[in-house]
Amino acid sequence: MATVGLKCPECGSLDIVDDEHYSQPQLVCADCGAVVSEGLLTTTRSEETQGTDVRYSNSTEVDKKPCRNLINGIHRVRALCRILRLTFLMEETAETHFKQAYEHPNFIRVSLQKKEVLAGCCVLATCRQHSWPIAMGTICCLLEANPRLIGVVYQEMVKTLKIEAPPTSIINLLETHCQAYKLSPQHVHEELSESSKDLTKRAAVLLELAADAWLVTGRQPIPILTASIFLAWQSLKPTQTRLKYTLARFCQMAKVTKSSIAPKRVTELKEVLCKLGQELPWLRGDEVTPQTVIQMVDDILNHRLTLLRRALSSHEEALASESPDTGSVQQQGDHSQPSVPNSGKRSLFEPPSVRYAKIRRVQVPVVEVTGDEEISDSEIDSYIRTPQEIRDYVEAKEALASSDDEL
Amino acid sequence: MDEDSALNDPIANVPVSTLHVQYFDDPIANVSVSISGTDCQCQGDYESSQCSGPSYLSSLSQPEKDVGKDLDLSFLPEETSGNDASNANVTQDSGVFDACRQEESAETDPKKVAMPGASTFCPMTPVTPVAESSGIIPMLQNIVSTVNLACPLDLKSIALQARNAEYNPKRFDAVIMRILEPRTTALIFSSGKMVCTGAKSEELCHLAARKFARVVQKLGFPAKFLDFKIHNMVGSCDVCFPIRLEGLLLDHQQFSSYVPELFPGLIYRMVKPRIVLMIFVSGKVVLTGAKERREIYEAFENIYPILKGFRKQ
Repeated sequence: MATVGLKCPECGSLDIVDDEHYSQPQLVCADCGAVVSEGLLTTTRSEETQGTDVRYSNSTEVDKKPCRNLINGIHRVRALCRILRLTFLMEETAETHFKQAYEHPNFIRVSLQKKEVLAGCCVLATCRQHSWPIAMGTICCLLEANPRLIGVVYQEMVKTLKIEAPPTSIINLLETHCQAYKLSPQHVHEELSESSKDLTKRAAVLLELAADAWLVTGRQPIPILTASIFLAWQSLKPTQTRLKYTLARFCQMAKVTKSSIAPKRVTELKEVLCKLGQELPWLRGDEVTPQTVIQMVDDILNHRLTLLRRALSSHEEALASESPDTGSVQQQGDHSQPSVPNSGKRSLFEPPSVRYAKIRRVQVPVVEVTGDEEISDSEIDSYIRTPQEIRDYVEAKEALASSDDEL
Repeated sequence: MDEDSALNDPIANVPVSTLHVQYFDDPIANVSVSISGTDCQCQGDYESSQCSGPSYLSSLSQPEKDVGKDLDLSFLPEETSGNDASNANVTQDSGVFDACRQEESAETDPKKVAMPGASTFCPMTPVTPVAESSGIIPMLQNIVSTVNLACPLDLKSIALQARNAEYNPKRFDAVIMRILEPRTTALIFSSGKMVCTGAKSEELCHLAARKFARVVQKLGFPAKFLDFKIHNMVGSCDVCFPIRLEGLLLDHQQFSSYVPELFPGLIYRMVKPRIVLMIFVSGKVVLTGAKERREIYEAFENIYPILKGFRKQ
């Protein structure tokens, strides 16, 4: 019986049932077939989702339709792939990765921010798998996200999906990075323009030199790439116009994001070039300063092997002439404290973290202790408040609390 | 000839680099190294991968399977499978950090001609050549331990009565207590369990934990001292020469993780003993994850010959 007390107006029977005529719900008398009342032919969406016997979350539709964030994420992945101009295959791979990662319990309940970053990380992993050189910094710029967050999400994702994503070497990154610099004649003035190929070639040599001089290991790759490209650009045509350009202005002109670390790398690279430039025989021992070295970069790079050898040998000579003088002093110095490491054999090029080592905190001499000694009562008492202190503290807290209440 | 001998001792000698011999014979402009593995289609501005110039860096981009064709690996130290050299190191912390060991003795060691077996087998533990021990002893920097005081504690009253305690239940549900001698910190939970950190040796850690327990006792709780256990030990030392992290990554790919964009050091997960090492370009090494002091010493003795192989000669 549909409703108690409903009587058929035709035959008076109480046997009214719910029936549907196609999709129109009707109340029909079971004896005579008269239609007692009708419902609406159409239903609204909310009635369909909320008025059903089975809840939406328990129905199978929930599984079939992907949630909105997943759709947004896939769109983001596709957009990133288009911006980076990746192949169709890579786009597909990135999408698959993203879907897999998104559904995984590690990522399904993660904050929206992380899900956004996850899209970028999938693209990065795909690029690495296909040996397409992309730096993490690029993804960082594109997503405008915190690099640490990207790092965390990336590593978790790689672990979760168990994919092998070998990191790209810095030389590969250089080419891609170079493409971003808008220095063709149609973008900038004739005098300031440079072809991408020449720039890459010269920058690669500079980068190699930097790597040999310990400027690359352990550091972020993008600043050193920027620095080498800048110096390459300056040295390919060392006119006064170009030399007057600072790194910041150069980045602005080439429409590349500035970095605060790149100027330091420029200084370091110039120092290395100066050391080598010093050995050029036709200078006859003239001082080579960071300002004047740019003009000589061409010569330095062409003959750098010879210059390296000469620099090493002259450095060794310098050390040898120093050590007989300081030999006696060092012996006395050894007793007092452990001498600075690396001082015995200072090589020509050293990682900057070694050259400018942080001053260590004085090591407290470790006392020989058994761990089972007696603990003096007085020492323990010094860590416990006196009753007077406790009372004072409680009073002060109450006074603060009451003054806060008044406010 | 002076020039030739100087050529053999160049600044850019990377022990594992595959093309280092070619590097010095061919001038820059003549050699073009094609970077393998890129399947980029030439869309837009991307050029095909041709990077001229042999370099240590481009050699790193070659996958390991290209290694071994025309190589002269005589500069590699001999690698023999076998037990580690018996550690002549002292097992207790001598307290003196022997940082200034002269490296001349290492260089005069007779390094025999190596066999190119480096890439044919991948042992689970790093194979150490038969050489003398390093003479450097890692110093312990931090020890984390737990102990059970076996009685429920009223954290508010502890925070009220103790001078050296801080308690902020909204931030973290434990009392943070510190003592001056030995300089350590303890986290004391209401269940009676306690975590003690900051000590520089096992005995100091034990002493500090006992002092914390004594303080809690004096505050009026029937604290005991059960199940004292050390969970983690951290040590550090300096090998005193710079290290080529890229080369180390290439050689020990299955153990190492080096992502300079995220962290400047290389993270090396040694299998036996199960220790994580953070190796930096300056030569400093941090070892962590040990339950015993011996594991830290063993791990360092295992890694030292490997690191020596990546030293610039």
